[in-house]
Amino acid sequence: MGYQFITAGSLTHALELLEQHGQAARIVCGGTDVMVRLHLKRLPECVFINIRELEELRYIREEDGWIRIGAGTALGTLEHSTLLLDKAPALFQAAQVFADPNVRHSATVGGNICNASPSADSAPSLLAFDAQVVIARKDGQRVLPIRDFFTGVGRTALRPGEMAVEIRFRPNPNSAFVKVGLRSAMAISVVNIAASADLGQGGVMKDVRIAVGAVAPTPIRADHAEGCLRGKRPDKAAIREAMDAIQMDIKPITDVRASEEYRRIVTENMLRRVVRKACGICENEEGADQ
Amino acid sequence: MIKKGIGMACMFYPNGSTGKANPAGVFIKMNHDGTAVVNVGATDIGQGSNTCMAQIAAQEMGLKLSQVRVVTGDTEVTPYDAGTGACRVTYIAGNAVQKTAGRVKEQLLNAAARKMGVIHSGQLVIEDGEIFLRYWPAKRMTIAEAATYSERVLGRPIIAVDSYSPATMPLDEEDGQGMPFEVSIYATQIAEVEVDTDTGEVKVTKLVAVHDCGNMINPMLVEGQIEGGVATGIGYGLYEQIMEDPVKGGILNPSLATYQIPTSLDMPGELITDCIEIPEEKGPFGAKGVSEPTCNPTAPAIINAIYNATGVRIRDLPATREKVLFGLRELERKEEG
Amino acid sequence: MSQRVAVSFKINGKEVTLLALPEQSLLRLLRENGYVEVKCGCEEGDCGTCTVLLDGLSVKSCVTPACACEGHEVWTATGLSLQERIGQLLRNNFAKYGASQCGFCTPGMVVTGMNYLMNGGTADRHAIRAAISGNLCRCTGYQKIIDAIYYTAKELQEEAAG
Repeated sequence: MGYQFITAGSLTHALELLEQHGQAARIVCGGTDVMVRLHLKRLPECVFINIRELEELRYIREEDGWIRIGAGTALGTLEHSTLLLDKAPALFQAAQVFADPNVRHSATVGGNICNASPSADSAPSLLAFDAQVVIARKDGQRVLPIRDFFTGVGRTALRPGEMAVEIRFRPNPNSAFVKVGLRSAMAISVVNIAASADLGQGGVMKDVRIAVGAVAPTPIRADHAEGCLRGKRPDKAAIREAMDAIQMDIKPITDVRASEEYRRIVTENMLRRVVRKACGICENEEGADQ
Repeated sequence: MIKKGIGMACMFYPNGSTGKANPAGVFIKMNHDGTAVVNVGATDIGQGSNTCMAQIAAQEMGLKLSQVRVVTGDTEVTPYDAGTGACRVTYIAGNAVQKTAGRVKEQLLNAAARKMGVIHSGQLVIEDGEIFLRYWPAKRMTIAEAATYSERVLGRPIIAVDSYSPATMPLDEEDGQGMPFEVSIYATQIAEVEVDTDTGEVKVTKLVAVHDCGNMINPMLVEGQIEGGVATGIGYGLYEQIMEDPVKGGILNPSLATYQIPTSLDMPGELITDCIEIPEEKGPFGAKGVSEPTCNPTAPAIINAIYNATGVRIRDLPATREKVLFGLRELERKEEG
Repeated sequence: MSQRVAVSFKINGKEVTLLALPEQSLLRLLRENGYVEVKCGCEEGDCGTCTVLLDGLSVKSCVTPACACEGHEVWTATGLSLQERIGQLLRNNFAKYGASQCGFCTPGMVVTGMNYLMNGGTADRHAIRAAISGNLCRCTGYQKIIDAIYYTAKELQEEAAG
């Protein structure tokens, strides 16, 4: 039988193909993950459904108080989006350091989350924005909080016949993203972290959402750390408390890139950095290092 | 917090294998059109030795650079060479090329002297593809004419073979004495780094590399080699390590995603290279190699800079972010306790 | 066994129809058909030597499915440096500034450099450094490659200024 490659002419066509091929179907857009797996012979025979031609999946727009991003939008588009720069800097910053410029021309947001790598660079920002994933199938659609979207290493809540078509979230200019890799470009994250804070009077964080990648089987929200910061100003004491608490949120492992211990220390330090960055406090201001 | 530091490393390094013969062979033939084919055993692995050998040959034979073709890398036709390594190509193969080219020149001049009716070939000058009388430059002929005359009239096609091996003495097994190398090259590099104390990340912000390679045969190639060597040295110092699976054997990071070499963004924004040109009297046109010392002092200079910035002394390479961060923690613990 | 399918696209300005396997990368398809200037390095999207322009943007052809190129436009380093004026300038500057040593990264660097120049990149060394960060080079330390792109951008800027 071998592999098959079908280019979808429209979203409806793509969804019909997905329905028709069920388990055998595999969506391909940029190809940056799929082709590597093929090369490593880690992809069994399947029917590729190419959604690269679907213009209707390529957009970044703001409407009804949401920022909506089509699943087929390339990271390279996010990287140059002034809308994201102004209203969702966490995602904008993640796009800047995602893989490398040439890969960003191909790789898409939808692909990055559906590939469900624990270290996916777009995931922490989307988690910190409490984003929603719009999932379509032939006979309808459903919306899932991104928190429930990742179910394991390389696994998502998508069922056969379904595909992610849009990611949407409420904009928040008080957000930031920080990545630690092993070199300055083309680095797989050892820890990546995003924060999104709702600032009230006197710089108090009425609410704050923190998400971390590469420290658990899926990108995760740091509930304990968030709890320590909620309702407080991002001062030394509160951040210190959150730094200790985040250890209860993460479950890092040792791999070729870094040890568990390194990931734990760096997660703490990057938590401090990302919260201060989200709240607009310069790194070298008093209390930046403790 | 970002901590800054500066570190330096100095070194010397030999040209050629240690205490043993390591010859380079060369074979040159002249064609009727005045071009020469220079058959060199030493292989160009990207450093530009083919250009360098062509320059040495052209200069010695009095040919234009465009009249010299270098053939390497095919053991079926090229003479023996001990290999591209040990900083030996420019110095040893270069010497072999110059010696062989000298023999070709002698044959050309002898043929030209016969053709021009000059008694002593020493009265002739060979330059830019032409041969002329030193005191009467208007009386001249092309190298093509000399080569053709030698073969067609004198019956001696112009060919020459020679080799060069540095004079060395093996090291005494008892006391280690001997003369392992004929010449050595020297280098100093100074690195400026920024260490992020939150992550252990080391960024080389500036690097100055000053090298000795005698006279430079090709300054652009020398500069290119130094810059490339520094990149390799940064990889060696900060990123590159082969990780083995202690249980199953095998390599855990057999790809360019996991075995990390520096990207353009990992290179210092400011990289200054310079050469101190002191002619080496035994080298071809005063040249020595530049090669390996371009990357050897980089890692130690960086390691010293990390120490200068943070007090962390890295004892095994590479200085990964993890090692630097753990080193910082260790220091903190010592200070507290 | 997978069945080969016909894929029609423009390469270096010329319409072609090539037979591709459904699982084949653009890199393999191009090399099979004689476009060997597109070098095969890691085939995992890391090294960047297989970079081509796809619809005017630099992409790594090893991670681009061949069949997805149907109806699109591909340029390789050879096409760009022979047929495009900016490509000729860049090629000459690669030679002039010694930007190629062993040469293995060169085709990818040329294409990525062209992507930078054709999309309005200016003579800004840091921006050029960032632009080529997806292309690995083991010989040059990137300095002379950055020089070549920098001086080409400068020439183009001077030209535009009259």
